[in-house]
Amino acid sequence: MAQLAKILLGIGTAIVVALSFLYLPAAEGFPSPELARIVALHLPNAMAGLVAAVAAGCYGWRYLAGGRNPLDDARSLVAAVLATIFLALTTVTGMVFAQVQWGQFWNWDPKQTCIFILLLIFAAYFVLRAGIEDEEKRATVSAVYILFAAVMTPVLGYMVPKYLPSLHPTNTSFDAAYHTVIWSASACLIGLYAWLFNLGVRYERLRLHLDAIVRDEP
Amino acid sequence: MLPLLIVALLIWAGVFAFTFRVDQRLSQLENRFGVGESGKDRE
Amino acid sequence: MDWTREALAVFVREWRTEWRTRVALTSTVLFAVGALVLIGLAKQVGRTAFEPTVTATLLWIVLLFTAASGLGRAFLHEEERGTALTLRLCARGTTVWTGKFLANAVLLVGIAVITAPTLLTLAETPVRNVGLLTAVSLLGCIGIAAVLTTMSALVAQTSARGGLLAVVSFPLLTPLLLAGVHGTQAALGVGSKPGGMVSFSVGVGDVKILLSFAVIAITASLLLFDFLWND
Repeated sequence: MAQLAKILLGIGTAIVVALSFLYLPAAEGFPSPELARIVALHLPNAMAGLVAAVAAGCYGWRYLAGGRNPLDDARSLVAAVLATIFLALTTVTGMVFAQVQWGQFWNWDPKQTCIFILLLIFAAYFVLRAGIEDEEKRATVSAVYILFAAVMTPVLGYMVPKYLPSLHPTNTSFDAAYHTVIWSASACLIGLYAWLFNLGVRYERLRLHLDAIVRDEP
Repeated sequence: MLPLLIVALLIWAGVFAFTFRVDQRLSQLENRFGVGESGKDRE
Repeated sequence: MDWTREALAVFVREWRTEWRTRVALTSTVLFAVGALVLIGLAKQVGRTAFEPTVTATLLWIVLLFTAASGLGRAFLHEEERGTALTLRLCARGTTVWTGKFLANAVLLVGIAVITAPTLLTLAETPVRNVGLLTAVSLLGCIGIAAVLTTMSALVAQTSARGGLLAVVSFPLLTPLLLAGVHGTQAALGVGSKPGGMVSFSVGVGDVKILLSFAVIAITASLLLFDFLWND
């Protein structure tokens, strides 16, 4: 059953990749219509990244409120790692898109800035973790940090657009083909996120188990 | 566009194969140490 | 009533221990003075007055870095002297946080009272609404103090300590920085007609944002601090 889902995900993603090149029409209204296809990669990456970021916060909360299970801390960590990867890919694809369409890799667009600040927050999270030896203390401190960040980042998303002019289109009506490809690509990437999350958590569980064995031996 | 599509598909194939391999290896380890879902199945 | 007294006791204790050595106080004030001297010298090289936009940016950069260098001590010295455990027995988490936050806020507002007029004089930038400038700086200092107090409690647990406070707090402070710089620019007359005073209303949006930022930061800290303290 689980094996079948993984193989379906593999084939499905391959189909979506093929669709984004062959089926997706060139987007009119952009300086370079052919290359606008990168949004089929850019937006789904952003969605998977945000899902992962929210998951990292939720597992942080579950660690603090739900009995301080070390596995919840591991889940929060794995989600944070995946969020960093997906958000970094979002930034890179966004920069390529911005260079092609607006002639500049970086232009302090609000969404660009928000995602970059999210990346900085996750980087700080990893630095904070690296600085603490004791596992329980590390779990508590990083859970408090990620929850504090989770409370402050909606403020960020609300405030930043007030101060920075946006280049992101606000009224684009993607046509049906774009809708289909973007949503199915999002489903694929979120599926991939779920799979990688499962692998990361299983790895951490194995590590915790082996650590316990090593500790218990005289 | 076609060369780009082939490159994209190759990258995805690589990522998928690597992930799949890691998944299998993890299952083997879980079996050996009796941890997690695949470990519990065995018990 | 009991809660307020406990928080005030922590606040008074914080300043009393600080007054014995005055390490944080002197080092923070000297940091700000050093930064101002450097800015003044750098301006002399160019021999022209700063644009108001530059002055506003410099003011917030100086405030943020001074805060990050001086406010980190709040929890660090408890861990260093081993007094954290005693404090844990005597006071609740929320009162400890409030007391230390108040002490930090007072320190930072004091720094701002010294820094802002000096910087504005150095930069030769006329202030076109003193009330707006005061409101923006005051609320900004409260927001910075709230975030830094919580972050210093986290950083005190790590082995790196020193530089980590800036790393973990600056990304969280970006909304405050944007609103603070924008409000200060408004108070210095950016975006208004030249000459005369500007009305408070040009920056009222920034004041509201800074106020809500401070409220959210304080609430989140009070809610989360117990998890850290009762560990």
